[in-house]
Amino acid sequence: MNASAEAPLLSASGISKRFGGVRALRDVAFDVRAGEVHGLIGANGAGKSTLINILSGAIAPDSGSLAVRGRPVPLGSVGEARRAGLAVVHQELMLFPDCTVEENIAATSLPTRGGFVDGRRRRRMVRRVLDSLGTSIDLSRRVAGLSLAERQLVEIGRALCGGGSIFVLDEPTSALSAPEAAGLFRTIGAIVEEDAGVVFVSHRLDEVFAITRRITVLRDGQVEGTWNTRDVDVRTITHAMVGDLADARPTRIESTGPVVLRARGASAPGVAPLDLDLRAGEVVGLAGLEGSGTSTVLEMLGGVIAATGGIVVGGSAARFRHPADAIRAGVVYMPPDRKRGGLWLDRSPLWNVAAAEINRAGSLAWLRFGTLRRAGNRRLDDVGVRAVDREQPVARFSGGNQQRVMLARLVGMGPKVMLLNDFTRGVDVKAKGAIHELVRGLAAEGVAICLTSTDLDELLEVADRIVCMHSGRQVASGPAASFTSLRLVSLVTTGSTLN
Amino acid sequence: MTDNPEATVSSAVPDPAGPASERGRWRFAFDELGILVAAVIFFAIGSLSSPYFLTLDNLTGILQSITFLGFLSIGVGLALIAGEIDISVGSIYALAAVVAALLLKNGYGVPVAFAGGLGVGLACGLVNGIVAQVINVSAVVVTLATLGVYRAITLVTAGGSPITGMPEAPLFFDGFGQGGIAGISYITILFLVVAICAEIVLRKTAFGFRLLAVGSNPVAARLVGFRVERMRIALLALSGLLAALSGVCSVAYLHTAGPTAGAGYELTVLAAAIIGGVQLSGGRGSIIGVLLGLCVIGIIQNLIVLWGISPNWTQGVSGIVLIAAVTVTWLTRRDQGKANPIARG
Repeated sequence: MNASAEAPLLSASGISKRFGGVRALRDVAFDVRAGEVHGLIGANGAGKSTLINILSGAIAPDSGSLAVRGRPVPLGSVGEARRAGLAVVHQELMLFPDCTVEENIAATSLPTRGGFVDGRRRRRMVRRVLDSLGTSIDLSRRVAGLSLAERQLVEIGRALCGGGSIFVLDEPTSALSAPEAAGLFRTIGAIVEEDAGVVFVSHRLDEVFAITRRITVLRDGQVEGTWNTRDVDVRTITHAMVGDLADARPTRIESTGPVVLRARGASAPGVAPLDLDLRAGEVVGLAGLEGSGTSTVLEMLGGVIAATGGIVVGGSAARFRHPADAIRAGVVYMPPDRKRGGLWLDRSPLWNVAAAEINRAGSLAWLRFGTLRRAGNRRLDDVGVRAVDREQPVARFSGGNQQRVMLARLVGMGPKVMLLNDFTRGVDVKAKGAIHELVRGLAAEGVAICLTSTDLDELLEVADRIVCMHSGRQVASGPAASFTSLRLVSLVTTGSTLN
Repeated sequence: MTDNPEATVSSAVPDPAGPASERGRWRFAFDELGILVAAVIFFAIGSLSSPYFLTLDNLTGILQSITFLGFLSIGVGLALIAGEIDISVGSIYALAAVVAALLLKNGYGVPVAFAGGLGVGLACGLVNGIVAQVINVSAVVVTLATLGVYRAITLVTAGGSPITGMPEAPLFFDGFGQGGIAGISYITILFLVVAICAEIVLRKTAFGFRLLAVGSNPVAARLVGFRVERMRIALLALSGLLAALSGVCSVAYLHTAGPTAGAGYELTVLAAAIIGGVQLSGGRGSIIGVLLGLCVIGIIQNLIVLWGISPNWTQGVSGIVLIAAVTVTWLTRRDQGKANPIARG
């Protein structure tokens, strides 16, 4: 290595960014040295995405500067960032699925001769890049047929081909299996070998500790600190991520309601055989990162995807092949995505709620719109959708009200078990509180509730019991009172406790 | 999930549904206003431009001209509203006609011929639905394939030429086929009854609600517990059945069954549905709208004859009306988020 010690490969300083009234980043300073893997971590909402978007040029910061090898980079331009050697590999990859590996890798830097693509030179160039990554994907395969890990490799290869020297990998392992992740880490090793720098953004502390040389923690838009990975332990880092949170949670007595849903060795792709009891009147929070299997667990219990193993509902074995089977057994599922699977956005809330009632009716049953409307209005009142115009499309409602409409419909199905996937997604803080109350109220009426959230503190607040998942398996469970947010963060990020 | 500060300020982003307007309030009252206005305009143009247009003979003639297409348009319309499509109807129409005619010719009698024709149509529709469901391919692809397959079966069965020389069956050919009340043929009356039933089922029953729900958001429909897969098969089967009903009626009316009959019907029916306000991506539309769309096409064809213009213009005018109708629909619905109504695989 050369003079890189004095002028870091990448240095960002004084970066600030506001979105409306929200300060996403405040005076962030950050640098990456040549030949280094630098971990960038932080809780949800800490500002990682914003920082990544600024590095990629997708958004311009309000103030601050960026330099590569000491030379300033114009901000807010994707093209300039790429020319300076910054390459961001996103969670959602930007590849052409119907083109070959070779075409994808060379897409941004096509060698030409007289206006035509120089196929031989292209092949040589791509081959050289992939060799340097230590892989041997068949160049003529179509990207659509590749595994996610291979696609990431192609994306990295493309960035290398385009002269990239700083790679930002945004949650690269969230959807990878363990051997695939190991392969990716080898690739990362190969990149830094060539004196490039890698920014490794991840929720998974075990990985961050395994492959980085330094770690920077963001919290609430500010840099909490940068450490040499060798000199720091998981406890310090989690503490930096979470801060000193006063644990002011309501204490709850353990539920003694009857078990309504019992899973024994239930599994689905991405979830190892799981034992889980859901009791009447109890709220169980599934804690885990994206890709840890929490979402899949809810989907398999709700009949959305096929499950193997034993699931018993209300004393009889349940084999759900369709959500309709689960609903008949009293198990209802709420999807996380309101646009895609949750609501008919172009229809009114009354219409959306009526769907639950109509599910029970025979095909040629006559619809009594008056009755449906009255029932719908009552349900919407119950969940507190304010008396705005209930005939207008749900799309015009706020996120909080949309979430309530979904809950109203679930309640209309007469559930014994409610499975709520990311139950406060896209809902503002005030509405979150109201939805928490609703959920507690439903539990008090004897419904068994199992829910997930990306916000771990929220889970601790709402749930009676926490089941913690990491890489598709359950790693801990117990009364919510027995978890601190520190312990929970460490469990979901590393799969084990600190002590 | 990574952190996403943008999400916390989403209230600053304009509402995807656009500013609140008065439209939402009335949308459920009558969605077919546009096509109704269009039909009235064409009707007015017709009555002002030609003294013959408003005569009973001419009007019942228009009605008769759209009757056979009408049966098809009911089935295809329902499929479209649920986000499906059936373009094999023209072939099923001919196949059912040929089967019914052959049964008659071979002395099986009217009930058997009727049942045979309808049965074949139902089977064709079921095949469409089951194949689409089992190999998980869009109904466009499957029915495009069976459009050819059913046509070939028809041609082979009929030996390539129209089937004639059926034995006398006065009740079927002269009574049902040619008779009528007040100048309106029994077949047209049957068609109108079926259409009214279909509209009622769509508007007033649980099945109709589910159909609209599946068309508007199939993922949500499945999660709410609607059997989206079965509905898909049922609708394509129904579409085949109605096409067959039309085919069998055409035998009674025409006294013959041509193996090439009904070619191109699928496109006319699709045009009528779109003119009538059906959203190609599903979730929106009505049978009344489809029938009014068909009426507009019927009036255009009629006027071209009355005005003495070359019939070569017919398709061109229909095409221009189609574009105009889609433009009007787009203008009135663009605040509802579903962008391009044509874009659906």
